[in-house]
Amino acid sequence: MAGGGDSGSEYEVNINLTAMLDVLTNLLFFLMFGLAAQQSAIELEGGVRLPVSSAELPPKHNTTVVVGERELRIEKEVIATVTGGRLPGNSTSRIESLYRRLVTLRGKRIAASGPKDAEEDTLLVLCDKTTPYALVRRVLVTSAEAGYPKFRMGVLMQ
Amino acid sequence: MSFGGGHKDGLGGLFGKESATSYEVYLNLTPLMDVMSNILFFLLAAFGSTLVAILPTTVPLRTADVSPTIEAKEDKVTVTLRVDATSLLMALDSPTLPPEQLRALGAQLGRVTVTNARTGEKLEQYDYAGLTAALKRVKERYPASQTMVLVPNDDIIYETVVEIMDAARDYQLPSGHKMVLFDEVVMSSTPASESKKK
Repeated sequence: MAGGGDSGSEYEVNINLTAMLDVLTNLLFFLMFGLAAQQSAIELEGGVRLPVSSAELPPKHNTTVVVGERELRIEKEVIATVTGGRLPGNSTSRIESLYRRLVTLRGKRIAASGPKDAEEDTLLVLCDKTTPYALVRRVLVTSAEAGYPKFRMGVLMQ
Repeated sequence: MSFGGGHKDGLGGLFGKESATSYEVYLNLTPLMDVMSNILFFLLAAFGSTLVAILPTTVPLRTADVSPTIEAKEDKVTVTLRVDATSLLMALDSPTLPPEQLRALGAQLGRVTVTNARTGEKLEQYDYAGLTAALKRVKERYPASQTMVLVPNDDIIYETVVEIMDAARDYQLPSGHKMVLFDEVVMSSTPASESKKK
């Protein structure tokens, strides 16, 4: 007596998931580290800790002035040292080193591309959250005198 | 006739003394793949998003042309907000409206104690909710107004300035939409600071 059985043949498909798991795991770890590094990169350079804000406007590429706990920079170039929230010298006057550098940068830009784009006369200012307003104001006023009357203050999104 | 074998721990024994003990292990990778795929997609989405936002602002500049241009269609006011160590003082100014009319909408706000909802910690801070409410009243009365002159004391830290700008920028309506209040901020200085320069 022959026993009943399934008709047709069954194919067993073995999918080797090991390689796919390897790739996904690597992607996962690199993305996790990349996400952590993205915020750290903003904070660690020059000791700048940005305040948190509910602002939602995305940043655009502008000349960047960084007011950190230890130094004042334009892009990556150190302009002056900051001690206790103050710059050396007269505490109310224009910051000459910043002024000269911004005038030079603006002159180069106008020489290269002409004075047509007003958007280029906007500065992105990244200040450490503990910076006193007096220093922030000096930086802004100096920058305005150098030909950058508009600013975008960088903050961390909530 | 008996079969050889008799190992208690193995399947072998039927075909000689040496037997290969093999266990087939089935790992159910489906839930692991589900979790990893989800995490991967969310990380990809979050990785491209912007962490840094910007607050547009300006400073007042002295210019040669001082002729005022008055837009007479709608009444506009400029809010001046002075920030010192203990209070926020809000005053209104307009080239077309009488000072008596504007005085009623001014406000002086002190510091309040709030409790952090997550940590339960009590913090003393400026009355940002009161500031938003006061600015909302001004905006409802004069909808064309959008400029605020911020005049903090020199020792006010930048983080506080940002918090004040956040409180002044918009108001969350019950419907979920945001009512824009004063998103154009001019950062100025106190007359005492200005006089030090002279």
